[in-house]
Amino acid sequence: MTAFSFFFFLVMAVLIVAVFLLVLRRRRMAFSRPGAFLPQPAPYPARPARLVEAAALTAAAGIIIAIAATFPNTGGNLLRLEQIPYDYAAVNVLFFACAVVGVGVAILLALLGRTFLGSLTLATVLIGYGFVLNGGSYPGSWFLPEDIIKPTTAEYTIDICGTNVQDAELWVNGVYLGKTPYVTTLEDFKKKVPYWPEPPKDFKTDKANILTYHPLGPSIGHYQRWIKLELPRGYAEPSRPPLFSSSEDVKKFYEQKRLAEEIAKRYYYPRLRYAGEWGLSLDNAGWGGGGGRFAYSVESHFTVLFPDRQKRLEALLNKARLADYHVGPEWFEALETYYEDAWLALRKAADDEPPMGELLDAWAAWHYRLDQAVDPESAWEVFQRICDEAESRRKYTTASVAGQAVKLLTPKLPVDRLVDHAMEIIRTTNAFEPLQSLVRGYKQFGYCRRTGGLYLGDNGYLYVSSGENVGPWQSPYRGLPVAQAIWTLNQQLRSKPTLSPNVIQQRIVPALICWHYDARRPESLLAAVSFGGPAIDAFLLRQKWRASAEQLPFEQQARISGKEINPWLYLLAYLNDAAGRKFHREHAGEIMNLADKLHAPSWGWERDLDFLFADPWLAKEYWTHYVVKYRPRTSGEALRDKWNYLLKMGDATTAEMFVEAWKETTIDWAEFTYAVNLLDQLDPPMQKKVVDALTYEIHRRPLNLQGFDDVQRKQLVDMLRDQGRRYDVKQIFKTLAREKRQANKQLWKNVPLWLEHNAPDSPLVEMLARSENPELRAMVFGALRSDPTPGHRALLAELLKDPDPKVRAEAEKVAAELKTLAAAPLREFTSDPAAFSP
Amino acid sequence: MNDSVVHAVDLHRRFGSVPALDGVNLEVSRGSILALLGPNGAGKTTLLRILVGLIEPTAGRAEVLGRPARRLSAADGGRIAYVGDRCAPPSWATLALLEDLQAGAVKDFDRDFFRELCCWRGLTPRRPYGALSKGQRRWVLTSLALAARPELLLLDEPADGLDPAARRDLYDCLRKHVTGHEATAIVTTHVLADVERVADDVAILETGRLVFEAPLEDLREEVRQVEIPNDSLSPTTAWCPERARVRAEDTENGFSLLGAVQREDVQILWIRRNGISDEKLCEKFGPHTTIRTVDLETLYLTIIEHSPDIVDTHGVQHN
Amino acid sequence: MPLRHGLLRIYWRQALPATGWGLLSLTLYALICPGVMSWRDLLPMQFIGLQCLLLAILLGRFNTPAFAFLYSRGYSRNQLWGHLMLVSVLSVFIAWLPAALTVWSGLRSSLHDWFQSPYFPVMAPREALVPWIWLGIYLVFLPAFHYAWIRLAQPTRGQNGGILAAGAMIAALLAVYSMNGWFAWPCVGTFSLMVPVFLLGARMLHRNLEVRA
Repeated sequence: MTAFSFFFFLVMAVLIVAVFLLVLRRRRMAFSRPGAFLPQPAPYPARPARLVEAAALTAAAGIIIAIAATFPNTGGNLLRLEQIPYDYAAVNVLFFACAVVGVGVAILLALLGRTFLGSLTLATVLIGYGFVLNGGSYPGSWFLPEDIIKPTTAEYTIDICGTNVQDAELWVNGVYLGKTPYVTTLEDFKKKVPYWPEPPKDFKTDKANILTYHPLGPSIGHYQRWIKLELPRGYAEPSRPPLFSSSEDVKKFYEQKRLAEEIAKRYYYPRLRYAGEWGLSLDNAGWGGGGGRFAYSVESHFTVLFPDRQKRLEALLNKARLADYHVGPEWFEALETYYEDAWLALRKAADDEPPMGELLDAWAAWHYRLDQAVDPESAWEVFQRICDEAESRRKYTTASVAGQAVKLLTPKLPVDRLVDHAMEIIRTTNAFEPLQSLVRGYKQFGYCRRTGGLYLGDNGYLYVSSGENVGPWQSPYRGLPVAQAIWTLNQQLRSKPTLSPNVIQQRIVPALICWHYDARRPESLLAAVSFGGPAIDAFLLRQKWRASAEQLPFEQQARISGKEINPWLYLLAYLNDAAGRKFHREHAGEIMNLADKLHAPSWGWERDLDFLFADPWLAKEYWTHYVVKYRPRTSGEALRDKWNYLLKMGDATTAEMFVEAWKETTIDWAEFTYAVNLLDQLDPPMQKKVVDALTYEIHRRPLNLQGFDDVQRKQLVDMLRDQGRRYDVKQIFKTLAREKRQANKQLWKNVPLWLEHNAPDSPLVEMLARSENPELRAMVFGALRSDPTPGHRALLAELLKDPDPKVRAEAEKVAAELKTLAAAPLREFTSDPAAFSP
Repeated sequence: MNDSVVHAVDLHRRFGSVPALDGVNLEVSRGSILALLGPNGAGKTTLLRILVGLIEPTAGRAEVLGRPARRLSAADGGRIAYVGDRCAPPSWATLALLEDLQAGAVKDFDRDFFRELCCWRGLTPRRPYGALSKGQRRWVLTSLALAARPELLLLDEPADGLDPAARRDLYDCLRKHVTGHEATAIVTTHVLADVERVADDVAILETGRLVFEAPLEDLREEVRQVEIPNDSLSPTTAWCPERARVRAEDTENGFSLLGAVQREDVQILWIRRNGISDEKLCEKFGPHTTIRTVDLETLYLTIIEHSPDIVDTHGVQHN
Repeated sequence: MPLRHGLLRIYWRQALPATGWGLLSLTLYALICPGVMSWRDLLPMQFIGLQCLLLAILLGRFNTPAFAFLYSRGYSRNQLWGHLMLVSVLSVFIAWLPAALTVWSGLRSSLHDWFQSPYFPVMAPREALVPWIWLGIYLVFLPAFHYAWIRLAQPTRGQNGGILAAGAMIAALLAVYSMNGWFAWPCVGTFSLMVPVFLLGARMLHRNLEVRA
């Protein structure tokens, strides 16, 4: 209790006592004790009194019953009768009707002048109704059989995830059910689909091998076409038989329960087909979830790949390359048949191929007619169209052509109007739940699907959700494009450093703090923190960030990773504006202590140190603590976690840090193998430095390799060097140039395949194409075919004039194939050519 | 035209189990002053409070100025003034505020008259009520009532605490108002001299019942106290209430029996002669009968100290 | 109803302790409440409830000589009741308005900002609704408590009916406070309907109440 509260309660208590003393002093107040001086009462109260008291009881009863009967918190089910089993819905209505009748009796008594009796009756009825609703695990549980709450039907949805394919054919146990997303009920599903006690004969053999090529050899992924599905269970079977059951019925109940559990454990075997191609299951299992006690709907999702479709998409991109990235509306129409996969493909390609990025922009401009956005007013109209579309589709993600359009539109939008609109959305939504969405490896941001708040995710990036499958009472979807526009605007404004706060810091940040602040959930302010500015600076710096979590008021004690923390210090660590960075440098000690606390082992919780990476300086400061203090739950995690830490630090890392981490860790084989793979994420030059440094250390027989003999240490070095060799194209070229085919068959065989399938954009292509050795020149044609960029076509043109006839012949073949590809109709490269109509 | 300003019929009022009023019938004519007498707890204050509308009768009805006492409108409310027992303004209220308060209720409130009356006793408008003496407070309250120029004044011991001069002045003002404005007043008091000075009619309440009511003039001229020794009573002449049926008017004998009381050795009757001479009365009542004129005090005390067998003037016997 | 200044002054003086309490408690609370005020805070409700209770008691001391005096001056019961309610409303506004202006004018924000509170100046928009909620609580409590007190002075059976009715409204208000959802507005409508019901009922019963000094 704060001093303020204590003071007020004390004053109030004194005053109440004083009032009562005054009241009780008859001389001053002349308050008559009932019965002492009253006349012989008239038999009934006056009519106005009866009416008023009856009206008051009616109003109060109406409100309390309405709350009790309709709020799920109080066990009320009246607003969701359609979601609960019919019999149970009828019982709920009956409870309500009885309560209403009881209330009616109470009001009647009040009308007859017996207000006390009426109030007593009303209180009894309301308490009884409340007890019925809340007295057990479900309303009426103390006298209703448990199976009455068992839903009679369960909506069951089966859909694909991992790829944006719509209308795939769903087959289960050889029966064609329909197209995805397929919606049925569990009961209908069980009726339609016959049970196979054994898997199909070709369950394991009907598969495809997808090879991932590397210079030293391929790795093979085996993907089955059959999926093994365990049906989701959304509700719990009644755990006990109905009350007053006979022994015969009890026996029957448990027998049926055993049978139901057996049936529930059965497996089914689905397959998915799209555009004539059977999909490859990436996880070979169906997964899904259930609903709550009453809202009974379950789902199963299959992560499926359609390689031919993927190839068609790649071919479509190649057609753009062949046209020097000058494409028309028909190309965009064909591209749009791939939905968000198209965005993903272009986005991925744009990482190394800038014209693909321009194509992505052109697609957005074409789809949303961005050429009409010539001034702020017209740009706003286009933007509103995108918002309307998000609302009508009930879906929005920045990982889409819509997100790309918003990114392009934002610089043209009227800033004040955008900010006003954003503030309106922030103000009118009343909850905040951050959601992270990592769409195919690309980080996205925006409003949460429930409320329209901005939130922060890993590494200081803002995240958005796609807002799928949410109800009409939740956040407007039209808020998501607005959020993206604000974020984009913020990026633009912060790229031009100024002394005064920008418009987002001046207006949006205070609104976020004002309307979305929730002390117990510091993530509610992460968006404001990411924007920075004087408002959030003052807000955080004025808090009791020095106090320990226990010293804070209860409503400010937040839990992160299962530990009570001071949320203000946590958020200040995330703050990455000038004030935030200054704070980090002045109070690094406190932040390090917080990091120590969050990094301490806690069973079942992930360690959370992401707040250190908002300011790379902090991450670097903590590194020395981390590398020494880190005690993993299992030995296998130590090196992996440390190197992940360093990878998150980005450019602030050095090769010495990797070595330091390695030296402080007791090594085992499995962990080292995993950790070495992490080095893939480094740039090749840095990777080479790390490999060289580690190799040097291994040779020095360090303490952390005490259990390793010489042979094992050599194996460690080879593993490192292989990792290095894999991506050192110069080394590969030198090796190829030096060693003949017979001397290094593996390399000669795998390099062309690697270049064609997995690294067509590697600089090795050009190096080989210009090699003096025709055999080396002949290695590049696969890459030229699979990635006909203008640069590669120039190389091809050179190879068409190659002095070596074999090389020339191969070049002509590739050129002809590319010509055929360029001339092929676009329809053949749509997601489902048979279904495509422009 | 009905000249009754106050008309109470069979009024009853209980407080818990205590009957404060027990079947009171009262009628007060316009232009008269009724003195309401009775011992402490007789019901005088209760009766006045019912008439002014502060409390509800348990049974019966009370009408003032032709309307039910509890249904007076704002216009009618200004026609009645009340000075009550345990009815006083807050002690912080100044006389000026009281003047404003009363003027707000009464359209024709005579502010000058009120100020004159206050000035008469050396009271200034800014004086708070709580700073006044008992008598001064009473003076102020009665002045408020008089200045309102009401048609009906209900004064509960208005002169309580006043010195003789002030008392005289007050009653003179009252008489002037009643006479000058054809108003009516009901005054309760314990000072019988005041009654004889100012009242036109007298009524005596005792344990909630109206036991005596008559014009004051009648009391002097027409009311006689007849004392009959018990040993001279004969069956035909004994008026002992145990045997006699009491009649309001003895048409045979011509007098009205107003009341009777039985003492140890003598029976006392109060009668209105109705013009019959004292000698004739002696004849009627027999030898050894003593006939006296009676004054108010004697009558009052005798009634108050009576036995439970009291006879009221309307001829109903109470045991 | 023409206003009678003498009567107003008498009632006003009677109501001063309640007015003083309301003014002091609400304004102090509005000034110095740490943290962000929420419409769900129960402390202002208690202050307001106490003020309304005091108003009902102080303006309803029918068994005192002062009220016997007041009720026997010749004012009609309706006039008396009208002025009583007018003074109650004035008392409410005198208590509420400074507190509301403290919030709306930014004085609270500035004061807390000066004391380095982290919640200001950003929280002022969030608190703008809170004074209106206080006014709503006044609207619920004041008529109900007046009714209950006047009902106690009735010369008929069941005097505690008013207290029970007021208690029912308090219970309903607390139920609304504890929940958040779709029916906030229907509840506002229900409470709004009960205001004239209580007022009318109190007015009618006031005609019959007894002054038993």
